[in-house]
Amino acid sequence: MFFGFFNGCVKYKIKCERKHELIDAVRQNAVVRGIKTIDDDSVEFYVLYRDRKTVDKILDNINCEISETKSKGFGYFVSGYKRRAGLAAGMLVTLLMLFFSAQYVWDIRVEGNDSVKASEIIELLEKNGFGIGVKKNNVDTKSVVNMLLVADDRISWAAINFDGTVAHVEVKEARIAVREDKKENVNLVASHDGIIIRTDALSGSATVKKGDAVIKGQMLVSAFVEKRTGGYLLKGARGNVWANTKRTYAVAVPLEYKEKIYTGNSEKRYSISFLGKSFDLTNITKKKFANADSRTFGGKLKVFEKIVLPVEIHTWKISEYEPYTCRRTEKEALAIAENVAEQRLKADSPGFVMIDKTESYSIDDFLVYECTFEGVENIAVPLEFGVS
Amino acid sequence: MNNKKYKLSATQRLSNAIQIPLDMATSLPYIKMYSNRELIVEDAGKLLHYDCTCVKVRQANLTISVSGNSLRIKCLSNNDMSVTGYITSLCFE
Repeated sequence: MFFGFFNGCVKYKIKCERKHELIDAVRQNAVVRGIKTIDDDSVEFYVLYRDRKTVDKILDNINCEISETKSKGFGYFVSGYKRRAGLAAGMLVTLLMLFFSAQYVWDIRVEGNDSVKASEIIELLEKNGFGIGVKKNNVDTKSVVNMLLVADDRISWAAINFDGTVAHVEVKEARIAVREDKKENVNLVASHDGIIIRTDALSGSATVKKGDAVIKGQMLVSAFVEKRTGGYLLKGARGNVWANTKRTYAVAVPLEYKEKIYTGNSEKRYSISFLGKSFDLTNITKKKFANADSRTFGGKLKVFEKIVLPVEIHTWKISEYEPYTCRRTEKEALAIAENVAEQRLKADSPGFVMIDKTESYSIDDFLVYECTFEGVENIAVPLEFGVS
Repeated sequence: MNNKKYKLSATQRLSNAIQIPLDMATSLPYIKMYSNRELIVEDAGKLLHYDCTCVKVRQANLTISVSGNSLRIKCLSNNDMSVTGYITSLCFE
């Protein structure tokens, strides 16, 4: 059965009065399989695909009626592509490419990391000569791992294992020995000018009291505590110091701005990356439009959503636009300026409790907005000092 | 009962005398059976008759007749023949 399938076989259905003689004649030159008598003068049998010409000649010489012939099997399928050398060459090239590309790293997967980003680890590995497109046999994984451990203190252990063309980088992160808030060589200093309204020194000794005016960088809580018996003990400073502060921001918003009106003219350009090396299929750097935006799509090719191939295809969509000058109203510009000022305050002091706000603005080509926020905030920030 | 004594040919007698297998000295058909399911005949001669109940082949002056049910010639080449099915009797005429 399998022999017949791999070689390919031809099924004959023949109507002949002297069917035994016919089979005897065929068997002299070819192996006849699966002989089946349908009725008194009809017979069905198989011969190998390679014997079909001989059998056809024999059947031509004998007075019989061939009612059906059917070819099947791998041999028959292949014979259809016998004269198409390009296909065979393509297959050979594919196999060779597969063989050679299997010698390289196609993908790097980082496992076991939590606080250290995978992209940071991959970047460090690349700096140490291990990245996508590196030949697997040329990689000294021990030295790469050692260099990774030296380069990043947050990683305490690492290993590189290969699973086919995928490199699995397993890492263990180092445990932090001393928590930031438990450090002893820390004073609390003012992050901003202000007037103290309350001091909560959880550790260390406060150097300011309610009503004191402080400037930025002034010590608020000292790390040293005076002992009853005399002398000082290093305890470390922790706590909160609340103060009335003023924060002033100036924001300039242009009244005229440019908007993009897309003309609808666009073109696509392609680039392909294979094992970390990029090739431009179309000239990406060539400028066709005077004003254009480009967006990139694509990424690594995947087979069955799981197997990552070492090929990346990027499509660059370049869209032409015409710059168009618009003008904001005063109200719109003011709203933008207010929003920006509030965002800056939020970024500088997330816990700021606003009590009052003074604002003013002037208009020329720009709307210049000045705003002073008055409020209460914790101005204590830790500052480390050296201990010898 | 037929008590007729068959005379062995000279070749047969010689092969018996020097104790070599008969198929080495003669061109007699070699028959192998797997239970009553498959019969293989090497050096099978001309196919005389074939249907699903009877297969007849002739080799020299011997006719081998296989009877049974659902008989099918699995393979037939210049020398060999393989018959499958439920073989009920094997006759030499």
